[in-house]
Amino acid sequence: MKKTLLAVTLASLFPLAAMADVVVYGKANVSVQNADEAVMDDSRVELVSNASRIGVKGGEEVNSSLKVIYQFEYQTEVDDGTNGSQTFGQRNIFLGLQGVAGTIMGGHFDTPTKVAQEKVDLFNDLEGDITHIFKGEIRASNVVQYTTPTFAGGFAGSVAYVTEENDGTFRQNNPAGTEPGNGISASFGYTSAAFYAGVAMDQDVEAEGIDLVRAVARVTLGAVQLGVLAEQYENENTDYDEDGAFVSALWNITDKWVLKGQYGQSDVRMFEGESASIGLDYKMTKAATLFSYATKVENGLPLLIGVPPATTINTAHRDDTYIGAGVDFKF
Amino acid sequence: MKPLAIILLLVTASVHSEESNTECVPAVDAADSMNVNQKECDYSNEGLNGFLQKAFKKGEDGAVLETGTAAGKNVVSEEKFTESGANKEKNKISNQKFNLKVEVDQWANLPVARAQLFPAALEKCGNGFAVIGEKYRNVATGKIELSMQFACE
Repeated sequence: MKKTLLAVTLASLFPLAAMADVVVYGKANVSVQNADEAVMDDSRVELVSNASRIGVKGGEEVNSSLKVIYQFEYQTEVDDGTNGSQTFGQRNIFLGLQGVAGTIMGGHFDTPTKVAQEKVDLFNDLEGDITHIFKGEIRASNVVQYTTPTFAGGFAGSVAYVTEENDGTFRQNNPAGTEPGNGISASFGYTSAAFYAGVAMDQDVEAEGIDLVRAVARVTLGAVQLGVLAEQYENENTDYDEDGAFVSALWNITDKWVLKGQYGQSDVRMFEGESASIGLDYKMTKAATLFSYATKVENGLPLLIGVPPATTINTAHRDDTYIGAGVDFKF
Repeated sequence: MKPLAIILLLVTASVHSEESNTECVPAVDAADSMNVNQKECDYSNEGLNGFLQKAFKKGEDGAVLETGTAAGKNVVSEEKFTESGANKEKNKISNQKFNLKVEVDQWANLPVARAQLFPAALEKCGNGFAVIGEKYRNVATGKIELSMQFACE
């Protein structure tokens, strides 16, 4: 397609007057991986789209002390073109007001607890994503959030109120016999280029009676970045009380080559869950990165002998290995 | 207790010095962080956004949209189609005018922040540049924004 034609097509999507305040962005992240999963008889080769997306964000000043901000971001599946019946899936979407006293915004977006992981998950959106062994990675609907301005050189906090809505997904998560309630997610932390430390909690966000506390830290020492995350999860409905921990390390070998690895052990999402990943990235340009990874995810649930692996009773068992390579292009 | 306080001060100082050098991350990463307090970055010459900004730039009939090489992506193209490739590159750089912005928490930090814009400008221009405009204003976050306009030599 000619670039001018593409420009005209995109022009029809955005008002001219607003273009100056709009940032259009996105990324395509696609990999080919060999998936050797316990529930499958044989390993298979897959093409996977890893949270490829396109979005617009921006803002407009109302006056010298108040600004309207917004973001609309959609996920698209580069591998097969659809996510179920949807071409685009909603990611972080919000409208907010930002002033000297902080930012208040509403929409459908990552809770403060999810955001608190910062950059410690080095295999985010891949098979090594911490969401496979931890909980709290929630992009909630019907959220109203307040975020403080950064103060004292890097401190900031957020409180999100996950509203009760009868027709929302929130109610569906409530155990039988419990009334849906409102959830609270909050975080507080210190951020700088060299150091990050944060604590976060969810109360009744995943469902009524389910609470979660997360602590995260990252330190960057020259070419090396180290990260650690710990989480405690409590379900009052089932008396389920579990925890987990996770460490990661990244080494910028040169300006182009990055070696990274991470390991986590957690009972939060699954019994005796473990995830280990190692990867090597090559930055082809500022926007394009060639990446490779090997990930092992396993848990302590038994694979029942005599029962076909893919049947429901056995799908909880994990002893999976993924080896892949792909390209990440930010545009 | 005293040594601990000294160590804490040193750590804080080192953290602050590194923080002042924080570069703008790609727009998709900035959005992914959901950090509404991060400093505002200029993406008007970056990626798809740069392409669209150029496409919709008013009053520039016949502007050429450069999205290919890394060398060309920061260029406001004003060259004529009849020029040779070498002359095009030369004129692209010499004709370039651009803005760089930086935000600071307090006035006292402005000199350092201002000085950081010069190497960034030189990186864009290559042969040198002139400062043709400088503007200060308060922004909604309570910070002070310095916007400098440069022209490549």
